[in-house]
Amino acid sequence: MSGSQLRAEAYLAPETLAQLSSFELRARMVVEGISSGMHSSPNQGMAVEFAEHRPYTPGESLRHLDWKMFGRSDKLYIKRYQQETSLDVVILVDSSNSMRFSTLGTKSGWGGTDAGSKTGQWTKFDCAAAITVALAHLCLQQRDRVGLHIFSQDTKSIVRRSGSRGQWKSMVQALATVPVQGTANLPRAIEQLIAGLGHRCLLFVLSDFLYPLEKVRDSIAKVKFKGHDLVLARILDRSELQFKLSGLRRFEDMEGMEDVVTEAESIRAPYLNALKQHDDELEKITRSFAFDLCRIDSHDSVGPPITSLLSRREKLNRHGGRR
Amino acid sequence: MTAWGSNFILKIAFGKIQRRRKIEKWLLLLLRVFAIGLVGFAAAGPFASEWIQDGQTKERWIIIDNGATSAEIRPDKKNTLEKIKQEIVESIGIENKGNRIAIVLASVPARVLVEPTTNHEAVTQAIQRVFPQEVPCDIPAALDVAFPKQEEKNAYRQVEIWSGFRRGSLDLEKPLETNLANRAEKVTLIATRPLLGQPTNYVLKKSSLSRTATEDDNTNKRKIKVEIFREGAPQQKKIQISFQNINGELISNNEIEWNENVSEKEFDVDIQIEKNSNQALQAILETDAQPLDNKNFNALGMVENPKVTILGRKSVDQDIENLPASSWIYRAIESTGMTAREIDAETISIRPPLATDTIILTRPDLVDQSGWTWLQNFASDGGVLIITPASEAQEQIWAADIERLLSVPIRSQTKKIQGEFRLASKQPRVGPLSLLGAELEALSEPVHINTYIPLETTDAAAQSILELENGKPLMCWAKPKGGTGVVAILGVSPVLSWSDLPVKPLMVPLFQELIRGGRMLATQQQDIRTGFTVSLGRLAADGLFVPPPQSNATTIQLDSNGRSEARVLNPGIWTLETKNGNKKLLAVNIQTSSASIEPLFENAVRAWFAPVNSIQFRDENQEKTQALSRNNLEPLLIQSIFIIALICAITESILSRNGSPRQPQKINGSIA
Repeated sequence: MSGSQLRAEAYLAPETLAQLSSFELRARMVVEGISSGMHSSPNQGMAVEFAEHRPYTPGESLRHLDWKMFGRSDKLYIKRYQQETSLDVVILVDSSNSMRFSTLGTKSGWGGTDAGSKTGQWTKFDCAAAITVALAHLCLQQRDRVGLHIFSQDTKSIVRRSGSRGQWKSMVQALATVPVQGTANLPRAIEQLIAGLGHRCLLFVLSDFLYPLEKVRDSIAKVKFKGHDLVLARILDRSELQFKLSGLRRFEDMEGMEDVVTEAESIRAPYLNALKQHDDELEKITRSFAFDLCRIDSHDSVGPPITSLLSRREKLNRHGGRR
Repeated sequence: MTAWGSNFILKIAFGKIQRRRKIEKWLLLLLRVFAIGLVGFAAAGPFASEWIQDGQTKERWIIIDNGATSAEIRPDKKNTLEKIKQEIVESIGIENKGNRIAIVLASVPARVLVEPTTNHEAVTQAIQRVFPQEVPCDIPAALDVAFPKQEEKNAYRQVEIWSGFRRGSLDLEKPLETNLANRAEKVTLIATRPLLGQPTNYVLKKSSLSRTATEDDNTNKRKIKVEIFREGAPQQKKIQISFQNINGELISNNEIEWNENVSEKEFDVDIQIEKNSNQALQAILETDAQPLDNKNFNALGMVENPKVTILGRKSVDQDIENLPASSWIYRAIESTGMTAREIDAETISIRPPLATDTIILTRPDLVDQSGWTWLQNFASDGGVLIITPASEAQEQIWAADIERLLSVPIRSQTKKIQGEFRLASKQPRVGPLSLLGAELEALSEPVHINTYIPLETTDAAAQSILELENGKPLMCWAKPKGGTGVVAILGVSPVLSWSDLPVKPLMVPLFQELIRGGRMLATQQQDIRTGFTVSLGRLAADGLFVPPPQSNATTIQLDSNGRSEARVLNPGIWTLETKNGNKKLLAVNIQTSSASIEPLFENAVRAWFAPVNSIQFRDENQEKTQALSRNNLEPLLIQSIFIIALICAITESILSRNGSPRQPQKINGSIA
């Protein structure tokens, strides 16, 4: 058994998978699929489940005409169907330098990436990798196609969408070996991604989103325009969330920006306030396009937030969903 | 060094606290400067006075109350002014040499004794020469002098009022003029505390000549009415009262028993004094807490026979029943030894009776307009005018306009009233008949009136002096407006057809006293009080008011109306020398209220000054004053400054933790 296989099994820790297995991953919106699956398809008329009748328009193909209805009522109606499709899922993982940040040591039996294994820390990137493989495993179980884009300034690594058995291992391999460095450029990554997507997909973006959100808004707007669904997962270290530091410190920027020298106690309140404002803005952008935002503390288990997200989306779809 | 993932957020937060940090830095800088400055100031305190002497100085205006109340003798046998002087001199002794001091005396007339000067020695010497004056204290005028002038009102000035603040020092019922407040904006007003306690003090309010109807002008026996009241605690004691003549010779010495429950007493004392020359006397009480109100001067004047003219019309009818009023009056006057002449009333406008001081007009119906004008001038110029109705006339036409004709507030009806009338058993005892006292009532009792003309007074300047049983006035008197003489109008004509008065015992003393009392009122001036100007009427026009020989006061020149510009400052027997060389003695006394040593409450004093400026009592202000003087930075003050400096330094130290260089700390060994 190769090293990457070992790590992949470690990511699929029973405690993570146990929390996910009771849910089916469903796209909240209608996603176009290549093969039939458990997801609703916008392409009506081709599959098995009847949706509705509509009046026939002269010149229209007679292929879907409901002859039985014609026999009963002497009127021409076209039959429409709701096709069950499979889902394409693409996961974007931020591998910028800030994703290396951690204040949590690695536990025995947990999977580690190249970023975390260097310091013996459970980095934000490790957390993102765990979520990625969990989602990929789930998708593959449902016979959905899943792909992976790892980006920082540019897209560093791409694992093309596939529903094959080896897909999951390829993804794990990419996550384990990709260098975690550079500055994040999410808009560019999204643009590069959606340029290569032929049909509608469910996109996951796993990042700390610690950059200005103006351009992110534009990118999300493009995602919306193209008809894709999007879930943003914000991964932050607990220390970043709580800022329980003291004393005078020089804060070195991990992405090469200016350092900040300040008294930790004095800046705590303004920092938490600024973080909340940034988070609120991200949520506002996400909600404005009817997408989902999920917040993850890298010190917590990845299971509960994903479970919560999937549960929420399942519920929405059962009740008719958005759109 | 702390590697940090979310520096992006940290920078946003850092930007927000930058402004606050800048303010903190400035605050720290200020605190440091302040702390260092305070330490330096405190350390330099002992040497500061010498430096400041050459620099800032203050102006201190000291108002000294040397009015009558300042003569109050305190339990240590010194008077209030002596104690005040002593304290002022002590305060000047510790005064910064560069400070300017001015002295204002508050006794009337308030004046600057020493202009602002840095020569403290001269100020001290000037203060030593200040003594209690027998005049009121005029603190409002002293403030007016001491406050900066309108054009200098922004100048800082400390005005101190040194007074015992007895009732005589401040007239609480006369509030301070608020226009002084405009000039008091930069004035620190300081006062001594009002003296506490009130010693028993007997005040000789008045001594005046008393007379009886039966008095014999040929003897030198005179009756003097004395009024005394008590201030302070009740006391059972015997009081000595003595009388001296104008030469200072003792002419009478009396002892009166003062009952504990009595606060006011009035009694008569018989003295022997020559009547035929200008005489005066001084009543003296034994010395007590306030010596200035223990004496009273009284000018008795010379008893001269008045020159009386009766304006009537002689009748050929010698029947007693038809005897005219003029004849009855002539007989009454003649019996007293006075000389009188009788002339026809109608001739007054043609040949006015010049050598006369009293006119009795029994036929006003015969007087024409020019005659009334002459009579008005006569009364205004100090003459005594007695008018009775004309029994010969059916209607008293003259009475309709008497108020205007003689400028007196007395109105009379023209129609006579008939009936049975008696004189009241209780008479007013005022005006020209006041000296008759109780005798007037006894003499009035048998008199019957059957005809009279109603009289009424139109203001308080006129008084009813003889009244009927029904309360209506039968005789009124007044001084003409602006004049010094006396006008008395009798509502009944002394003829038998109107009344039995001519044959009753009242007739003689009535007219005798109307003439004597009237003359006394006409010649006697209003009480002349020290501290005020005098107004002696037209007879004193361009005259001189000469002080008593032993006095150091100066002679006062009177103007054409007999008024003075200067104030009379010394009590005693003054002499009026008229333009034509006549001399007359006049008594000048202290106003007893201005010498009152009744205590005042502190709050009352504060409230009195409040319209101008809030006042601080000296002991309240003492520490502040010392701080102001800046030449004695007490150790306590220096200690306080050091403590403040220390507090500043500690605060600075706490606040400056942000700015002090320190080793950065690691984040619990988990820095990425």
